[in-house]
Amino acid sequence: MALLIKARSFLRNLFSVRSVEADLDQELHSHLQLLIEENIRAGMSLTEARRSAQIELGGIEQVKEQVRDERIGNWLQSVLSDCRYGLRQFRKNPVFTAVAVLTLALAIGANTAIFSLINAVMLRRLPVHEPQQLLILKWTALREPNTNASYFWSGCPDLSNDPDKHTPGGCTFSYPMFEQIRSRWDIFAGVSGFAGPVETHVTVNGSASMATGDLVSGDFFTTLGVRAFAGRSLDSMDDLPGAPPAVMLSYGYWQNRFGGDPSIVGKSILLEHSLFLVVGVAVPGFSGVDPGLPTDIWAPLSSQDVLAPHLPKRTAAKSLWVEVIARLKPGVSIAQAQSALDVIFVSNVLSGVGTVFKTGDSPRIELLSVARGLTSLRAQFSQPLFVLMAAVGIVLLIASANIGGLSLARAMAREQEMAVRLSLGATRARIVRQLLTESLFLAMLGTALGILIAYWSASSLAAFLAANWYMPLELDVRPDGIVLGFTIAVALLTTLLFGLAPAFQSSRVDLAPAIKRSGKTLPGARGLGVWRFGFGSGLVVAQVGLSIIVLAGSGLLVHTLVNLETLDVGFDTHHVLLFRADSSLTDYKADRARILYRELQDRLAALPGVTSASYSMVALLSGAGIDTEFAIPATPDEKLSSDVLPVGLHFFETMHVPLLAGRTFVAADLEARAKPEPVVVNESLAKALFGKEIPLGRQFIEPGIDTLRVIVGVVRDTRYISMRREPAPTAYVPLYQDGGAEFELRTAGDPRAIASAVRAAVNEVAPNILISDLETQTDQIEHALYQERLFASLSALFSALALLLACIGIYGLLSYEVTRRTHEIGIRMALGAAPRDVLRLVLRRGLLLVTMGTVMGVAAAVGLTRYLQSLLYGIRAVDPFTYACAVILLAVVALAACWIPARRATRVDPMIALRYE
Amino acid sequence: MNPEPTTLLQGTLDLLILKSLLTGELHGLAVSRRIQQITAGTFDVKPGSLFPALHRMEEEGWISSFWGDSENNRRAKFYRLTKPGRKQLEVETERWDRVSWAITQALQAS
Repeated sequence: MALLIKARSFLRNLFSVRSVEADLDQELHSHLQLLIEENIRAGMSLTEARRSAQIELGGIEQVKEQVRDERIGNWLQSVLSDCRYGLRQFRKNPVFTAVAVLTLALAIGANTAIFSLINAVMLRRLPVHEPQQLLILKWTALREPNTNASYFWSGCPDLSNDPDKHTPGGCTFSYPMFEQIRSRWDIFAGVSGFAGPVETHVTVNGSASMATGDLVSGDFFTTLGVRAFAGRSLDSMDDLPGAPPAVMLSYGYWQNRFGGDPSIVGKSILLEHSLFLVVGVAVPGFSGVDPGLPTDIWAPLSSQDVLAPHLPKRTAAKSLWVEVIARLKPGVSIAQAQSALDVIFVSNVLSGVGTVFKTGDSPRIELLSVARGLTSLRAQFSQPLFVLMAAVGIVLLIASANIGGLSLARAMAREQEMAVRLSLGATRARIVRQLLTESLFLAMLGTALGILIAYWSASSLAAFLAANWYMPLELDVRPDGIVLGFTIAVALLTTLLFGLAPAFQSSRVDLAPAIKRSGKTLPGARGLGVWRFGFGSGLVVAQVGLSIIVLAGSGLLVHTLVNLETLDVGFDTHHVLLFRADSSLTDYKADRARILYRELQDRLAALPGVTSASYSMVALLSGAGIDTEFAIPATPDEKLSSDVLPVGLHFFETMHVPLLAGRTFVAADLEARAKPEPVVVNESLAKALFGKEIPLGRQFIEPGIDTLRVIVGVVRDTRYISMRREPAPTAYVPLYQDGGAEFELRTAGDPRAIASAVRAAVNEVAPNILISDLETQTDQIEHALYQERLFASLSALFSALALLLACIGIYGLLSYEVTRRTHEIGIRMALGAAPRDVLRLVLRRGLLLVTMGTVMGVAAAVGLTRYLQSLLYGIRAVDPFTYACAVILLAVVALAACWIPARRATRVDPMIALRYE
Repeated sequence: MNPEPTTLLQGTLDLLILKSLLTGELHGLAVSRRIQQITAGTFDVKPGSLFPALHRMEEEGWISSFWGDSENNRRAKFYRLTKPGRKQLEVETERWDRVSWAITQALQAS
């Protein structure tokens, strides 16, 4: 009740200002009249009565003001009047306002954009029921398990991406193990197993295309709590062996591939040439458990024989391939679940049919939260994104310092106004509030504009990433509560940073001299010829220093990119056309495939413009590869980790990999499985296993596989899996098996020119073969480096922004000081100073600040850039050349920024300057 | 004997205004005079304190106002006690009793 009355008063005070004021005015006037009447009744004359009444009342306006102070909502009124006043100030200074708002908008926009990406990749929770209850099972051990087959799908939390730093551990388990875990209803409210992503050929109405699928256990959707948008979810019945094949589509795939046609539910589609019934479409938003990497279709694990025949059988106890996500039962702690599972896991992997570890390997189970999904993208992007976040954070600091400097100059110009306000009785707190309101107002404008910039740039960034990524990418960068909260926090922080300093500076005004001063010039009393090192100078030094950090950081990333682009990969990357020929779509198997590849190779080599053709299981530098271990038969326990690449005939000749000793493969090597198997090794392998000896005819083995290998040739080292990976010991073996192959064509001219001829030729030889990834080797390298290029370009962009802002800061401060000291400069010139002296005076001032900033910046950068080391290639974080470039660039641009105000100072007319006052 | 008007203790002004309105509606000047009267001239409430207090108390909902005619047929703004106001008066009275009893006790202690 009381609250209601207060609320009514509040609203009335806010919205009916005029009637409230009129009422008060009337009331006080009637009070005055009553007083006068009272006095007359007491016997006074009219004049006397009026005088006495007015004395008692004590001034109508003062009483009114006292009443106003008591009103509910008084603070809001004064905030509104601050805003009105602030707006008037900005209208009077449109250039300042525009520069400040734009600077803020760029800085806040860049921060929000990068944060949106971080949010999309790292922070957002899976759109499932109670995601925080979901856990993924992971095993760790001191040594790798001795399995029959192990699959490590991407996205296992904490699984290091760097194959060199790989610690034993993984998220895959055998199917029997999964079934045992699933039976623990006392610990888990739900357990689901899945395997993938698996690329699947989908044929609808005769047209084939690829889809990314996951094989899931029957309780996958119930465990996650994901419902069907149309039809029903896959369930346990679908996963029974022998159940009719069923498939569920993601909403996005349904929209893109089937145009959202509701009648597809209940129909059958062809997956790998088998009919599958579409049972339903998942709810919009859910596209699998690996954020950013959308799953198109889900099929039951029971359809594994058809969709992924290479995967181990369900009964295989020594093959790891099923990932397990479980929902904890309410009331069960992670530690309890972990110890219960440890018992099952350890007893299974140390003894019995599923033995893959020895006791000393100390295998154990970890339960990791999967509320934010699997970590494929997080592992790839988190570090570069954090670096970018740091860069834009620094840009924001520079922007704050910049606007702080501008506001400071403006505040000094308003010293007189502040002094008048203070002497009229305004409290310092009131003045600080007034100035902070103005700052907040700028920040709000800047933030609003910044959010627009952020939305635009984050979605174009996401689109660019998706367009260039090697697999389908779906980054949801739409702003959500977290992003909005971040932006508001950033805006407030910025406001405090740039608003507080000038506000306190202003409220500390020394009254008397400030009022006496005329608005335009300042007294020489502050010391002629002595430049004060004020707060403004400190801000400029800070901006220069921060710019150096960003410049050095982006310089290192750009330098890394150049190093990678000019890297000698060990073969000739020009004039090579690559494409993937996928024969597993058709019935070409084993020997048939090998014969087909040879046919295709001969046909392609005969094309005009093609000088040589070959094929291999994967292309060099494609990001894919096979790694294994080798040993000499005499010492099988001394294992050497190394790479293997199955290749066809003429591979080294086509790729221009120089032969150092022996021979390359001949047709006979590929025809039959000769024992020992002939292999060509690279220098590193030869050196690692056999030292300086030329190891032709020497033999080695792959532990676990019986094949004995004999070296027939030695070739030069090349980069294999990726550009960054140093050449590892590598064995090239003849390609026997089918599994698709990557063809390499060496051309005389532009490889792109023969692309259509290649398609036609392939179609002629084998119409059923699916061609994909047709591109030149140089394009492939471009793609491989695009992440580096993207982050180097972005950081270069941000450092340019930082540089620009810092220069505006220097320019602003010097211009302001020159204006302030016009009088002094006039006196100097009148006393005989040459323009050259004045120029030097101002330049020296500017360059002093730049030097101080540079020294601090370099020191800070040396400390900070070492966190970049893992992103760098071919340089150390403290690279003198890069640092020198950053400093020189800054010095040149800063000199230009100092030059303009310095020139202006030389043009001061002594007569006008002296008459100024 | 006419004692010097005393400055009001913090919080007592509200109590006095509520008390003065207990017997009926009054305009601002009459409130001031009534306080003078019931405190035997001890308190003389100036308009600079009176009006802010009246307006604040109205916003609190303890008193309400209306325009009416004074005893000399002059338009004046009158205030009257509301239900929450009466309750507030009880609260304030009780509090004052406690305070004054405590102060008296304190002064009588040897």
